[in-house]
Amino acid sequence: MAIRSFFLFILFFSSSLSPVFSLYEDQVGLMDWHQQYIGKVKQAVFSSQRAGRKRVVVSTEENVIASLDLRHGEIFWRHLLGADDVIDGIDIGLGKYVITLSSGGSILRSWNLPDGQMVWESSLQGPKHSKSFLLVPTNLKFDKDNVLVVFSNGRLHAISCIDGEVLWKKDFEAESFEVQQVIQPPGSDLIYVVGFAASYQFEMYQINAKNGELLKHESASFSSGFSGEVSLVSTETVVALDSTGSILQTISFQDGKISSQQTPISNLVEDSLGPAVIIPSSVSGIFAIKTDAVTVFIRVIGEGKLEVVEKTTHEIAVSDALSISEDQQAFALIQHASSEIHLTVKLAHDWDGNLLKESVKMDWQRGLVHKVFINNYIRTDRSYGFRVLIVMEDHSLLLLQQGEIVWSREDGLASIIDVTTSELPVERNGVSVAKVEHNLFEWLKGHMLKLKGTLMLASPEDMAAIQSMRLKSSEKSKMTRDHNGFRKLLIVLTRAGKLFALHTGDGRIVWSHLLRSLHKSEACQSPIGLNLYQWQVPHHHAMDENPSVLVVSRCGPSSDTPGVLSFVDTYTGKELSSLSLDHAVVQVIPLPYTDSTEQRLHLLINADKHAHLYPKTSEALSIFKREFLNIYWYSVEDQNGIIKGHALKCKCTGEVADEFCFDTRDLWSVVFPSESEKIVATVTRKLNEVVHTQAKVVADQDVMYKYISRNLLFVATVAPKGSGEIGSVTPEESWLVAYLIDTVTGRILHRVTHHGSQGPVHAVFSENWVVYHYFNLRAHRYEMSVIEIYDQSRADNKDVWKLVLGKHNLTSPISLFSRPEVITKSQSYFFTHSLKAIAVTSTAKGITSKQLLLGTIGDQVLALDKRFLDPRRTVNPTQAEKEEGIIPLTDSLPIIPQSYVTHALRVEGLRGIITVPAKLESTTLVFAHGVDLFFTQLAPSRTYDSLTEDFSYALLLITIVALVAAIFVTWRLSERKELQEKWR
Amino acid sequence: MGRVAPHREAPLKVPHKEVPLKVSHREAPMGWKNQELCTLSSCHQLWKLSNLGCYGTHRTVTFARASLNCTHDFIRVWGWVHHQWSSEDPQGLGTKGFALPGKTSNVKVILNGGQIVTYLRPDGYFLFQNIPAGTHLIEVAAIGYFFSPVRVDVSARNPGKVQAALTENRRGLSELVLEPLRDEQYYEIREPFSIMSVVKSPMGLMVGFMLVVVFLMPKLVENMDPEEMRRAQEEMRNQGVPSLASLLPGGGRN
Repeated sequence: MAIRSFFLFILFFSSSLSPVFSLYEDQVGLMDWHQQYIGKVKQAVFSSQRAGRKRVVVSTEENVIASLDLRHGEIFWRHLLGADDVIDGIDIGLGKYVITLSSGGSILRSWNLPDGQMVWESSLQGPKHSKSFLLVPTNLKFDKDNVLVVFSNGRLHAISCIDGEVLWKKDFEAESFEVQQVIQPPGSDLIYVVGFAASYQFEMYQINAKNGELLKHESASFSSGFSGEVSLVSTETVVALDSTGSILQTISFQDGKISSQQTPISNLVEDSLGPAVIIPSSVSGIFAIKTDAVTVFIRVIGEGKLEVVEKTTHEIAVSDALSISEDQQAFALIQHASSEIHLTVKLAHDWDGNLLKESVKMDWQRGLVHKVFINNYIRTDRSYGFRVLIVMEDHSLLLLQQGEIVWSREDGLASIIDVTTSELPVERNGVSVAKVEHNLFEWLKGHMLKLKGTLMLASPEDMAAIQSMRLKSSEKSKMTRDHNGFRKLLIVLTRAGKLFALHTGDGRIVWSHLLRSLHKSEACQSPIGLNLYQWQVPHHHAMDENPSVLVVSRCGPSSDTPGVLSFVDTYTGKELSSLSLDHAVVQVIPLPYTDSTEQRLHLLINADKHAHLYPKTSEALSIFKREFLNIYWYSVEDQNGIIKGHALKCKCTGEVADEFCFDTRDLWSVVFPSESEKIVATVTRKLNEVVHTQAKVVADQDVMYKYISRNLLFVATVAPKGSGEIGSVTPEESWLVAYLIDTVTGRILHRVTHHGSQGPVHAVFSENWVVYHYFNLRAHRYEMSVIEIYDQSRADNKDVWKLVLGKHNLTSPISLFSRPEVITKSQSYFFTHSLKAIAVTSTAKGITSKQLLLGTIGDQVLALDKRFLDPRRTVNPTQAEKEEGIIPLTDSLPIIPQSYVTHALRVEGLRGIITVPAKLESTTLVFAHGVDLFFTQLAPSRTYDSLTEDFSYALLLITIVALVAAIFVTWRLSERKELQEKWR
Repeated sequence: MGRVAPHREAPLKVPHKEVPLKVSHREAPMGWKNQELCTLSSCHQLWKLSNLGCYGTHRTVTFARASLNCTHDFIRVWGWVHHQWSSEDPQGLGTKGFALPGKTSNVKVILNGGQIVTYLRPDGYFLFQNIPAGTHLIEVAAIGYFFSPVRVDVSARNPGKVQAALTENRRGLSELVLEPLRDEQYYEIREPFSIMSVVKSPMGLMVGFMLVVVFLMPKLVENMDPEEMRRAQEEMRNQGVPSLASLLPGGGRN
């Protein structure tokens, strides 16, 4: 009965069907924050408009084109193109259109510069794949219309800048022709297309820019061949390297005549080391080559003569050329010194003279300078000033002007790989960061204002005061742990290999750390971060330790390259230690055991299926030995369609004695027939999920027992034909099969086939249920299905006594041959939108009812009550079922706009949703990341355990005062009356 | 340059019904029955066509075999998103009391759950190129509006033949004109101040109850018959303090 009453208690709180998450407009920003990013900048073009606000248009590696305010770095407008629509080039045409070339040169779009509205879109096809170039000649006119020159897919196009119409096109169909440069000499009507054919022939095409007519075609063969890129040193001269990378070819094609000159690098640089590569630059007369250690700048003088102007071993970055007057070109050069960067601006024809030389202090946490973009302005004394935009190794974007960093953007946060959380330090005496409280009068005044607000009596100024008071409440951004567990640190790992700690209160960056272990080095050529794990979460007896996280990374894209571990303190952001492993990391299994300092034991599986235990301490080993036989895991080989179960066997044999290395054995395997099934999704429960109760009381006083096992795996497979895009397959030849597999025994507990359905499948597993989203081809709508699994062996335990004394699943033997008595219930519903991510809320004790968080295709996050996905829904629920809270069955799931947790915002490029329980049972913290970041607090069953934020203390006080006054008044009245009666 | 064979007469196939731009979005373009097939062979021409014949009219479903490089079974799909917020319709937003941040520049049109993403032109047109024959799904993502996904069947045999239907309500579309099914209001609207809301709050109820006790109870006591009062008081005295047993069910029987 206790359980029953408890359920009634929960139902009491969750019975209202109105959207649980709902927000008033003035509450925006109270508990949530939203940050907009763009990603690592690939290319930047400065708008040269004289009037109006200065802008810079950028394209990024996240497929974003954005217009930024050059004064403050804010985003004016921003567009995220599709995932396959990679941007190849951007430019500004006619001073008011942003031109973008994307999708391997096949889509050309024009955007209005002031507001980002798309003006036109053109599709450019071609005979074969090739490099793509976008040129915006300033003086090439065609019937009063500016012309864009685009080379893509082996075809040269001239396109009208105003409406995107193709004016003429010319194919370069020669099989082996590889385009290297497209040149439009300013002031002429010619276009040069140069490239290599069959890697030893230099080809030059001269084309009339007016009509695409081929004027000249010359070729010359070079027996030593070519390698890498070419650098354009003047409008009619290019420099290329031969196939050995040791001889420079200076090729000029003046007036259509090809002439060339060869210069061995050893003639220029005495101690030349190994093969060189050309760093492409557009500065006329100068190019750079780079060997392993040295960067050499070479000037071309006259007839193919070369001369070294500078040799440096520093890391260096060069900008493109910027023409500052008719015949003068300037470019920027950035060199690293220990804690500074040196910026020099030089004229192209005058290497020794500097237009500008500045040193800027640079935080070494930003790493090296990767890209430089230069822009000029005219100072009040009519001299030229320069500003440069630099892109750093951590993907941040900075504007330097007059020796200072004017603004910076942390755009590394646009590409988050993994997220974990950490608690803040406990508040002790003297630790407190913010001031305690302002005086009582201010407190009362604040609450009076709030009261006015709730009574709708406040004037607009009062409203503004209330809003600002709410937003800057110092409570939420303190640097100490709070009672409700709302304040935490979000630790995020970005693709640049940088760790950030974000405060959940206001989203500010508490610390950031560029991981040394993710730095390029001899041993580790292209390190990539993989995952974050909570390494040490100090608890009861290790309170003095700071918590730390484990960053797992590896040295290359393939999974058999050696791994790197680093341990980072989450309070300070210091890297405690890092380990270069001698084995690869294929799988990381956090074990449910911790040692005496609360370090969690982790098992790392390498490519040859050996298990390595970390931390490598004897204490960890002894704990591990105790649980040796209880450790099972599984692996998914989605290429082969095999799921395997593994267990530990014995110490590693053969190799050098390593007591932390263990051999493993295969326990079971599930092989899906490759001709009919292909694995598209596998999902398990979250490791740290808390389930409050196993029993579920259903309407007719019955009890159902949830089958709660940490070892359940949900697998979805589709027909191989149907694994492509929607519309590529007919309903008859497509199906989706969902499995529930026990990962210890390998037994398939449940299997269901959805005919005529296909992926992509998004699934989430929690408690005893799994919800998955897929596409139904017959109805041509998205569908969501729920499977709930119940333990039937305990179904007889109907009351408390039987529950305590009766059968439970602990006594039944776990073996492949014992069949667990389970029943499943499932139901499917239509859902309108495509999904990008799916998650479920999680709370501290698991009492609060659950909500599904659906990341929709429109980059919004929708909260959907789990009760809508209850397989016991029927069209006409009985009275008892209604009391239990079962919603009448409908064929599609409702979308209630007020339950969008992102309200009117978009989390552009949404990739993941993470939920973290707060200490307060009713509340869960939600973090959604993509190109943008969004954080909020959710209370899926409303905040039943705390007063809401807009609770009016003043009203409470007034009521109490009124009551006390009333008592006194009535007391006086009654006294007087009594006296009168006595006199009577 | 190849086999461009411009069908000069093709644009003329589109009836130039002059429908002004300001057609209210409630007037669904269902009346247009004569679906026109444009089978052009030049991409360029189709683009021109969109500028000519289809402007401002609700004639927007036109499918054509694309230009010479687009192979026979690659088709372009284009349509129009009816966005009342950019047309001169003043009723579009005024009723809401605040302007949504959404503009046409923030509207995305998404094919097959993200395979191709495109943006709207200022007049609301969108275009998907190189679409293979088959059944596709077009979704529109616009903040503040709910659009139904649209099922588009592109016939492989007859490149001009196409069918479109809203998946939410299975309504067929004679033209690919996408309209929001409804507005989406993301925020709760604050109830204006009313006495009832104060009275209904727990504090209000408390005060109300007290007032009742203070002012109504004496009245009730006064109206009682004095003899009855005396009898009641005596009864109370006889019974003493009501015991717990008498409150329990069954205890009353004694």
